[in-house]
Amino acid sequence: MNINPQYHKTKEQIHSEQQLVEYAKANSKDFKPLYNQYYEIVFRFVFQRTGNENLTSEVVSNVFFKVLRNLDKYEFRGLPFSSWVLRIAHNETFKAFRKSKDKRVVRLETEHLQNLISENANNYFEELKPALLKALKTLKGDDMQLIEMRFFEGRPFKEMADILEKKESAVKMKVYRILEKLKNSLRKN
Amino acid sequence: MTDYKFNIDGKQLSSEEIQKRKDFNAFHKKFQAQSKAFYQQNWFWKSTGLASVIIVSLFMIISSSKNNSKNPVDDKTFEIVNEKHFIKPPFKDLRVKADAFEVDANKGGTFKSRFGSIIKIPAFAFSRKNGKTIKDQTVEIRFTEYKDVADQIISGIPMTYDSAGTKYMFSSAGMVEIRGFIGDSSVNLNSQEPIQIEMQSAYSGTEYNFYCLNEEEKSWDYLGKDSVVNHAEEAFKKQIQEKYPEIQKKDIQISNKQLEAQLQRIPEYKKRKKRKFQILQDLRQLNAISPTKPIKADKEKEKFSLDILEKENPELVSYKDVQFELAFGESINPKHTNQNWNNVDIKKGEDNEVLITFSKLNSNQEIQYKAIPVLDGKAFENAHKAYLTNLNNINKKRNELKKVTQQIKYLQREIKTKSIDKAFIQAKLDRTERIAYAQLERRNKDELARLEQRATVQKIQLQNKKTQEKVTRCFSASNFGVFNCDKAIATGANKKSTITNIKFQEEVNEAIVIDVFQQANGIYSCIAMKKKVLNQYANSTITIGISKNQIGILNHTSKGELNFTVKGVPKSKAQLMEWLEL
Repeated sequence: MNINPQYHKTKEQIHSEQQLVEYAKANSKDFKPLYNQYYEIVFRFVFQRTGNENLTSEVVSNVFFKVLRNLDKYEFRGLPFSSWVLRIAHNETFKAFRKSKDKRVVRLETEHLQNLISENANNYFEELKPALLKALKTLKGDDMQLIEMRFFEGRPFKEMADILEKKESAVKMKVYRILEKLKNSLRKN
Repeated sequence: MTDYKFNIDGKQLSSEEIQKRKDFNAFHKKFQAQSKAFYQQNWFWKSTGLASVIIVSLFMIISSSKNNSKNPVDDKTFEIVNEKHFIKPPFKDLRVKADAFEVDANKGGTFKSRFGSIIKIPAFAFSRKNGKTIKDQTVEIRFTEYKDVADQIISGIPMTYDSAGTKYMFSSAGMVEIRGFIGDSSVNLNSQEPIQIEMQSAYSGTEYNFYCLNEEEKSWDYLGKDSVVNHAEEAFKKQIQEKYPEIQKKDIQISNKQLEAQLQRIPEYKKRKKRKFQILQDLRQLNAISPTKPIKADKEKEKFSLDILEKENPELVSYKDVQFELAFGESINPKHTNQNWNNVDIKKGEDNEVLITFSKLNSNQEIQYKAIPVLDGKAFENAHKAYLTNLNNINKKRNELKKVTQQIKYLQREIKTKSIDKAFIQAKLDRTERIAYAQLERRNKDELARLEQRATVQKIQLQNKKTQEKVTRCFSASNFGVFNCDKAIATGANKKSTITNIKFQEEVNEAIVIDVFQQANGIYSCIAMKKKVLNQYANSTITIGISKNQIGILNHTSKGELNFTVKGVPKSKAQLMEWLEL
């Protein structure tokens, strides 16, 4: 499975990002570079889960509002600033769901579904697709979140762990268990 | 079961579509409007209450422990170090790119920077503020290299050196800044475990000193000299070694033909060779006439003798007095004894045995006996005496041969050693000559390159070509900070003027003025103020001014008026270099 390179940050990027955070802490006007840098990332993260552009805009605005308001509380621990921002985005998105009682949207491409099936089974993808979607529907919210981050968004385990405030090893283990669960569901179907 | 809505291969939003929704100003206005004044917020009152409690508690704790000896510092407490006030980067959003490495404090490690500099960190190299060695933690090392004048300007590190009240500028062969952090708290270096830095430098001279920026005293501390490894020189040496390897005596080969030719020129050798030839001939003759050792007849054993007619059988004369003792297992057939055998043929058999064939004329009858020739009485004595005399002669000749062979070998050895020595010296001389030629060739090439460089210096400046790094400057650091390989040089002020006016986009009262000495790879900065005296330097490549984050290029100074053409805030090093025509 390919990991989306946009989610990987070099030490240098993380460090320079930290400088920007320090400037923004001193003056909220200096939050602009961070806002510009992360707007699209946060927008895509929320849109992936809502599928609604207007709702996404609203949630994104709330996310940045919270980020800026809580910037003083942010402590640099060697992790990319994006992890912290996306953690807030994650919370805000689900808060929005709770308020609106809208259905949780899972946006994915056919290719993503194929990623979930082993190579051998790819020849029977069309036959397996309904069963796979049925199996995915049985997943709990947290499990779906992991599958979505890993297979539909191509995030590295490290970042997933940072966003969800869990250990990387725990996230890995959980993902493998969910995959096993999906496989079993597919076999039954 | 969660009710999901799957959207497969649905609409993809383009970046442009998302960007259209982005509006920081609107967001910021909304943020400011929504943000209450601090005293209107709950956290303020909660924090105030909490702070009061903490202050009171702290006051009580400090009061109670005032007379106690030093309290151990909590391991988890680190001094928060932000950028030292002393180092003032002039541009808010521009920094020299740094490398960051994660180091296991227990293991240390070796790291390579983007410019190829090596940082060797020993195990347990880090310590806390209280001096306690850091264990079981990962330390982030941030390593910045300031290679040129643009980096020096961006860094905001003061590049002046005060010696006995006289200010000098630094001509830098390379400057590095190294710091360690756990999270965003700085850590110290354990002075017992200094780190080694092998900094790549474009300046190969050994006249540079080694300084460390004392951020407390706001001055540079002289630390001595670094050691320089000249890569070009090392590479040249390696190349020479490969092309003309060191010659060992064992590598010198002298062919036998060459050696013989030299030996033939020595009369002593020729004489001995001749003598050896003579002895060998004598020996051949002695061996040819030498009879085998005579065997004395055993009275107990059956034997026969041959009646030899000398005229008819001259080849058998030597067997005249010989008796033939029958070999083991042989016995004489009585039928054969009363017959007349005309022909006798004797052939050498195994060991001392002979095979004797008797035959007759006009008949095919033939008989054979295996026998050992033996002698008896006087015949044995004479034969034994003759045998001993001959053997003695042979031994004498053999000894003589041995002696003369040794003499010949000695001469050969001596001549070979001398020849090898001579050839070895010659080979060394040839090698030295070849190396000297290669060095001369290289010097000529360097000279040519220097001339070419001089001719194209303007072009290089325009193209902003990087000088090729040539040497590694090695030093050890027992504290974090800024380290500089520099030589302090006089700036060469040639004119002084009192400043009447400083013009940027508008008139300002003061500006940082930086003289760039590109050739010396150094800068000299000072604060220019109205009504103050400003030095001007003949050797500076360009003089710039910085005011309110903006860079201006000093055009000319007339009557103390500083006129700057404002370029703006540099967004990158490349832009700064372009403005400075570096």
